[in-house]
Amino acid sequence: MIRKYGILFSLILVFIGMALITHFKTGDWSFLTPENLSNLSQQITQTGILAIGMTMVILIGGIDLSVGSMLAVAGITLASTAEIFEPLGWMGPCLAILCAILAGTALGAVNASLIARFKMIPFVVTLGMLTIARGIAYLVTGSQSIRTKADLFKTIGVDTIDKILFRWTHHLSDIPAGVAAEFASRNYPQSIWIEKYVDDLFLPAILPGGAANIGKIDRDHSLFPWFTVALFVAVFVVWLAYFLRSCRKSAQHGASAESARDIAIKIALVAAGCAFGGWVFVSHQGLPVMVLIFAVIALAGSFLLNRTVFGRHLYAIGGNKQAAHLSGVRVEQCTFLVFTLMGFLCAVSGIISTCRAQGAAPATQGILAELEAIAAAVVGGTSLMGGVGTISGTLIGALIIGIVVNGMSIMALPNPIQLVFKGLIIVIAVWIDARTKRGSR
Amino acid sequence: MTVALEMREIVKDFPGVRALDRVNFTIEPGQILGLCGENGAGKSTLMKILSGVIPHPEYEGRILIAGAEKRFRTTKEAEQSGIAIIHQELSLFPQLTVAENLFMGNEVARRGVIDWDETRSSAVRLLERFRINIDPDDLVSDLNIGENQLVEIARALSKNARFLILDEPTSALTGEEVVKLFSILRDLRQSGVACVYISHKLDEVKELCDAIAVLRDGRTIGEPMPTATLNKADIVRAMVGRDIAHLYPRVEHAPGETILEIKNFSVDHPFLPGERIIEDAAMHVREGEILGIYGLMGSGRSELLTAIFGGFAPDEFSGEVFIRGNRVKIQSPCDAIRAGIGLCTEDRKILGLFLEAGLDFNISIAALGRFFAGRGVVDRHRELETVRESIRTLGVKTPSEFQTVKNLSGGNQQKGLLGRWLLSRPSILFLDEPTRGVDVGAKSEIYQIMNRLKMENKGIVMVSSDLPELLGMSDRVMVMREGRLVAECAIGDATPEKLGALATGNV
Ligand SMILES: Nc1ncnc2c1ncn2[C@@H]1O[C@H](COP(=O)(O)OP(=O)(O)OP(=O)(O)O)[C@@H](O)[C@H]1O
Ligand SMILES: [Mg+2]
Repeated sequence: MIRKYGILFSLILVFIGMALITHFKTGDWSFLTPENLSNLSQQITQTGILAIGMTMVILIGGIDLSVGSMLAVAGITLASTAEIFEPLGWMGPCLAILCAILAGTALGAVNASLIARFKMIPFVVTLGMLTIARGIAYLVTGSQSIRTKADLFKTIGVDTIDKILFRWTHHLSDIPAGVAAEFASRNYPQSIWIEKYVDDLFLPAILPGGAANIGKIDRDHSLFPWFTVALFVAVFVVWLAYFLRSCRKSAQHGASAESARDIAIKIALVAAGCAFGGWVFVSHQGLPVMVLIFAVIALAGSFLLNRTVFGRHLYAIGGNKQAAHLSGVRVEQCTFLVFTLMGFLCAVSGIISTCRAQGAAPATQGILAELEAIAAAVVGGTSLMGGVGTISGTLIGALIIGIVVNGMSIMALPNPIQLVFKGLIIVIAVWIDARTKRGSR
Repeated sequence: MTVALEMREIVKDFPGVRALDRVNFTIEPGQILGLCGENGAGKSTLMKILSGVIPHPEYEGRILIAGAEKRFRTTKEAEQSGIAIIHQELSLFPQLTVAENLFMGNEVARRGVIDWDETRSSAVRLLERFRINIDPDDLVSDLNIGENQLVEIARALSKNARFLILDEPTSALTGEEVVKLFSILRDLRQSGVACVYISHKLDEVKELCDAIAVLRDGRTIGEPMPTATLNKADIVRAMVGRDIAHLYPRVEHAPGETILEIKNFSVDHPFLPGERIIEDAAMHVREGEILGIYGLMGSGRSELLTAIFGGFAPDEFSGEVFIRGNRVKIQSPCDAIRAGIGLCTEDRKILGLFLEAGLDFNISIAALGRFFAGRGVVDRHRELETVRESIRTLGVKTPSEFQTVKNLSGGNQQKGLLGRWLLSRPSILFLDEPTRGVDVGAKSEIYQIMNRLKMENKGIVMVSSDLPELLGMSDRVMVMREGRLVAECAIGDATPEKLGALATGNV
């Protein structure tokens, strides 16, 4: 039981541990507030999306060191093409997103063809790409950061789905024009400004007094995130139906079916997870758009690995390349697809992080992202030897690292200490994993 | 006479299986003791305990040498007590040379610095002493599986062991090499070395061993039986618990049309430009026929099958392949599988299995895209149902279909591999050493399956070093020598002597 859910167990331990530690250190429960936890989920999104691609790359026995740089190129592409396309109105940002995705995917495809077609070693190829792509990012902007302005980007970066729906249903396209200007004039620091802007964007509109009424209303009544509630309930119900059907089916043709106890435990775990996630997001304005994107990608990745022939072939390639080849797996083709997909996911991650930061910076964006992505995968039980790993494990790995990082910044630990602890948690997690595996050898 | 080595009341549990259940086992000096039992009976496990591979506190029971209890926590400790083991699964380092492998862990060194000249000359001496004809500077990855096995044997012998354990050492050796090995072992017996000899080749066991101990389901069956008074049927009965009447149950069946034909088939040597490993091969197989291919190790038998199957890069081979009279171009194994060919590879560990993955994964992988998936999405339930079915028909001994293949016994791994290719429903099946390491009972089941495929008008090509098997099951035999198909015999005219002569070229 502990072995089966070992990694989940560690996650819960780390979570509770961090809540207690931050409590002792700061005296309040700020770590456990929905606001912080929702924030945490957004913090891990960038790494998480990369880690999903990285899991597949590592699964086939490869590695991709260039993800951080590809992410930066995508981010820069987004920001700079958005400027160029600005006159096109609403189409501008859409085209910019398309360009960013093409840029990331193209770089991924370069990696992919060198590795798959010309049989070069992934480590070396992507090491080269790591510096090349970073260089490109600098070149495009002349080392300058570029800010993004379009509403679409703000929506992706800071909004929740409930806010968007709210705006749609209340025709908020004609927001009182003074709102933005007013907030800008109040001289909020950048980050708070973004938060406030978005929060307040819809509030004034529903009140007769417009911007004048800011602060007068009780948020929870004005925006109860019904959509998020419905989403979490729906996810659970669909999962449950699917799971029970699958249990019944395996029971029908006998053998090795799960025991009733296992089934109950699993349902309880998923229910608890949904309830907890639901509570966090519902109490804090609903599910952020980027987290939704992340979740969809994770689901798709998990489906790809677990349920498709392609996914199965990835495990085969990582398990034994020669045997895979002789079993009819198209090794070259699969390798190509995986590295290209990695490029695509870098682009998505780059777009999201640019939207969140409201700008792209070639010098800082995606620095060390490759290591974080690899760490999330490895902490989540992906074997660097290839052939072993799951998306769910990787998500938990990303969460564990995210919790530690988040907790440390709540305690305001100095950055060097944070780095040391971050490294330690990775080593410890892998050590624990190795220990539990040895027991079952 | 003093008792040399005793194992008492050995119990070993793995998750879901009790591999050994209070086993008692004794070897005396100067004795060659055969250890027989079905796949998964626990033979390898018992020997792993004896040689320290499974370290001391992980099992229950006691090991005594000359009455003194020993607790081996590492293989090194076992070696110091004079116990050396040759594993069933090869354990050499492919990227190192033969000489480096021979002395791995026992390097010829002075103050930590390796003396390469001395290493090399010791290697030459060692290989000469056992009349093994391999260059110590060759990379192990360039040797074939039989040569690997010889190096492994030489390595164990270099440790001057008092107790030598051989876990299926001959499964990859040809007749001549087996004779060589036996004479080495008899010499060792003369000098007082005790051997434990595990094999599924009962004729060999009977010929070589002084006594035979039988394991069944992790328990010892009776006392070791002296071979002098024993016949093969007795051993089989003790092992399987029933009689097996005909080991080679050939069925007569009139072959149909030619299903596969190859012409002018050549394969280039991977390293030496201009050289070829297959030269101008031509052969054909008919529906409902088993074609046997015989040849010495290194004669190119496996390479021929692999090349037809598309296992080499397209620019490495040339020739024409016809299926039911239509020319087909096979560029990759994927094409071959689509064209209805299956290849059950010889080296299950390197070329066949995904050792870290489950049995279900291993069995279904080749059939996945075609039978269990609509538009690329796997129907897991149908897949599992079929996999279970095939585990049942093949009699794979495993706690569940999800068991990691690495943890299965050697013979059961082989059955899993065969299962993979049966599941891909080929109309032409290449079997490369299909019964290597498989126990008698399972062998006869595999033969039944081959017969069934034959009755279903499939074309089968079987490569085997096991002459009785080849002669017992094939309808026609071709002989390969140095990359050429040199002769074809109807099964009526084939005798071991004749095939041996053709294969070596001493006609
Ligand atoms: N590491 C392991 N983990 C779990 N089960 C194992 C492990 N090693 C062996 N077993 C199980 O223990 C039993 C005995 O295996 P063992 O390898 O000793 O059989 P064997 O007699 O050598 O068979 P074969 O003739 O096929 O080589 C088998 O059922 C096998 O599945
Ligand atoms: Mg064995």
